[in-house]
Amino acid sequence: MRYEEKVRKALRLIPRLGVFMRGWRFRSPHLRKTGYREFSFEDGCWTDRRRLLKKEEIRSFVEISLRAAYCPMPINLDVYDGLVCPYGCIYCFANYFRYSLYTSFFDNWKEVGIRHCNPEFLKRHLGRLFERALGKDPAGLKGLEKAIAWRIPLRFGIRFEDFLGVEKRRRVALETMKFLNSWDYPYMINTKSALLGEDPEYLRVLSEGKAAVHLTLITHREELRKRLEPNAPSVDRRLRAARNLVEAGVRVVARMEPFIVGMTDEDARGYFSLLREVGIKNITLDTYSYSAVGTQVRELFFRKGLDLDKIQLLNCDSQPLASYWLGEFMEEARREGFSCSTFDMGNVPDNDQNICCEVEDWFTGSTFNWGSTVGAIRFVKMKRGKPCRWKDFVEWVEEKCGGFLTDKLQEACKRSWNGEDAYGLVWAKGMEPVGLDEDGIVWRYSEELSDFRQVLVEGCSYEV
Amino acid sequence: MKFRLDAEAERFLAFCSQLETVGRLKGRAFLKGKRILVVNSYNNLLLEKSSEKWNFPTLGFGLDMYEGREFELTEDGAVKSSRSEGGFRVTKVFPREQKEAERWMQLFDSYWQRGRFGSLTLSRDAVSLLDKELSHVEIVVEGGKWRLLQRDLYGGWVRCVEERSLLQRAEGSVRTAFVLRDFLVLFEFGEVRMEFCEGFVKALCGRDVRALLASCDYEGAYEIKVLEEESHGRKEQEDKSRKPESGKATDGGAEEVRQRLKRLKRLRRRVSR
Repeated sequence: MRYEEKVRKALRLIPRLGVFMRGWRFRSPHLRKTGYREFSFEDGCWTDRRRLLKKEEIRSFVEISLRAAYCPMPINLDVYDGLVCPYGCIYCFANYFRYSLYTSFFDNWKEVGIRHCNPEFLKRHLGRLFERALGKDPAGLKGLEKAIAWRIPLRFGIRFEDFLGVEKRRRVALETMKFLNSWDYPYMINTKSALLGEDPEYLRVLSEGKAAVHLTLITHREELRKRLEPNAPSVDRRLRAARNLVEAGVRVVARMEPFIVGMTDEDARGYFSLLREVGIKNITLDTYSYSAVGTQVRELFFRKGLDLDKIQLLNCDSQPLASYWLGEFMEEARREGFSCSTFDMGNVPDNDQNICCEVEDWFTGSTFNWGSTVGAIRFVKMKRGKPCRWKDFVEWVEEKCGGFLTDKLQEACKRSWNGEDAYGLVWAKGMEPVGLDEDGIVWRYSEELSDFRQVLVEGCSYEV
Repeated sequence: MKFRLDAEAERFLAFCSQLETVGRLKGRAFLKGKRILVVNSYNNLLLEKSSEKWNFPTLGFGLDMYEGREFELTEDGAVKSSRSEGGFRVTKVFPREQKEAERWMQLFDSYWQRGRFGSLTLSRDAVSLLDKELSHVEIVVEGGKWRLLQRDLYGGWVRCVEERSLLQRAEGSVRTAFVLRDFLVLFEFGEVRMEFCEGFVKALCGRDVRALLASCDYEGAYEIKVLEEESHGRKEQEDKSRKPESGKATDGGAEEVRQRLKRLKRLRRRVSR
C-alpha cells in the first residue's frame, strides 16, 4: 500500500467540519487600555504609565533556543522583528505569539512595523562573543560561549523572516552575514524569501562564506501556496532563487515544514521533480508543531475555505499517525534519490544524516550539540542493538563534543531520555526499553521491533 | 525598647497581614505615635487607623514581616516582632524604616487636608456586584445618582452597577477610575464614605479606618459605549475570486449571507409550490 492510499484511509477517521458562515471577525484577544495614567501621591501629579516598545530598533536575538535539549543546532540569530510578518502564512503561530506579547505589554503596538537590530551593536556583541569563545577550550565554557566554541552554525529566521523587502533597503542581514564571513563562522538561513537567490550581492556573500539555506517550500502547487502563504514569494520565484543558489555552490535544503498530510502521490512526484530540476538534493521535514485546535490559526484556515482538521489535526504535535505518514513520505523521497531528515522524533532513527537539518556533511568544521534528544536517538541507533544506559550516552557526549551545553540542558535531556516529556526517545521508531538502572531507562535499538505507529495506523485503516 | 500592641492594633495589623497572605494587599505598615499607616506596594493606597490609647515609636516594616503583637527595638536599629504559641516562640527580625514612616505620615496628612468636589457613600452590597475578574472600576456621579462601570477590553463589553432607589448618598459631579483590587480593599472594613479630590479619593472605611486611594484614567472611560471591533492584527487578504460587482458596496460577509438567505427563500418557495 502506497503513501497516498494509507493517508486516504486514515483521513476517513476525521470528520469533515462544516461551517455555517465564513468570514466572521473576532475580537482581538489582547488589548491594553490606551492613554493610561495614574495619580502619584509621591509626585503629587498624574503620571503616564505607558510602556513603549522601541519602534526603530531591536537588540539582537542571539540566544540558545528553547528547544536546545532536543536540537543539535540550537543557536538562533534574528535581525528583524515585527508585530506581524507580512507574508501572512495562515499556519504560522509565531505571529500570534508576537501579537499576544506586544499587545499585552506595550501601548504602542499599533505603531510597530518591521523593526531591525542595529548592525553595529550586533557586530560588537558578536565580536565580543567570538573573541571570548572561538579557539578556546569548550570544556571551560558554558552555554552560548560553549556553543560558539563548538562553531555551531547560527540560524537566521527562527522568530521572524529576515529577508523581506525591507532587507533590500536596510541590508542588516547582509551586513551580519558579511561579518560572520569575516570570522569564518558558519550560519544557516531559514527563509521563504527569494531575495538570497535573486540579488547578486547576497549570492556572492553566501558563496564566500560557510552558509546553507533552508528554503521553505511546503507545496509545489501555486494555487495552494497562494491560500496558505498569501504574500510569500511564488513557488516559481523560490525555485529560481534556489537554482541560482545551488549554481553558486550554496547548500540549499528544501524545508517542508509543516508537512501536509493530505499530499497525494502525484503531488509528491511533482514536488520532487521540481526540486530535482533546480538541483536540490536534501529535504528536511517536520510535522506541524503547534496545537492545530488553536482558534486563531483554525479561523484563518476556515476563511480560506480549508478544513484545518483534515489537513493538520492528526499532523500536529508529532502525533504518532502523522509521524508514521511523514516516515512514509520520506521513504518516497529516498526512492526519488533525495537525502532527507526530520526533527520528528518518530523518524529520527531513519534520518539520512545525524543532524536533522541535513547539513552535517556541509558544516564539516563544526561540532554539534550532541547532548540532545536527537543526538541520544542517533547514539542508541549507532550501538546497533546493544543496550545503552544514560551513563554511556553521557560518556559518548563527553567524547564527541566535550559535554552538554549547560547542566540544565543535561537534566532536560535526561528527562527526555526517560520519557518524561513529549519529545522523548519513547517516540522514536525501533527504540526498545530493555531495563532500568539508577539513571532510568536502558534503551536498545531494534530494527525487528514492530513500529507502534504502524500498528496504530493499521488498526485505524479499516474499510468503510 | 520593648512594647506590645493592644488588641485593636493587633487586629488591624493582623487583618492587613492576612490580606497580604491572600494576595489582596501587598505593602508596608508604619507605626508612629497614635497612628498605624499601611501603604501598598504600588504606593497608591494608604490606610490609616488611629487611637488615643496608642503611643508607638516610629518604625515601619513589610506586612509579610508582621509576626505578632510583641515588638522590640534593638540598639542596632532592627525590629523584632514575635509571638508565643504553646510552648514555643516565633520571632522575626527586620530593619526599622523610620524615615519612610515619617515621610508617609506627612504625605497622608497633606493629602487628607485637600478639598473635595464630590462624595459618595457605598455599601459592601453594591460593591459585591462588581466583576472581580476585571482590572478597573469607573465611578460616575451625576445629579445625585451614581454608577459603577467596568469594561472588558478583551470581550468589548461594559458592565454597569447602579442603584434602583436613591439609598446611597451621592453629591457633586465625579468621573474617576480606580484599580479594582485596591478599591475593594477599602470595603474590607465596612461601608465606605468617599470624598473625591483631584487625582485621588479620601475614604472613611467602616467606623475608623481612613484611606487615600489614587485615581487612574484612560481613554474611553466613563461611557457605556462598546469598543469598535478590532481585527486580529493581520492585513486582510483580498479575495480575488469573489470580487464584488462594480458599483456595489460590500460590508464584509454580511452581504454574502443576505444573498444566501435570499437564494434559500427562493428555493423554499419553489419547493412549497
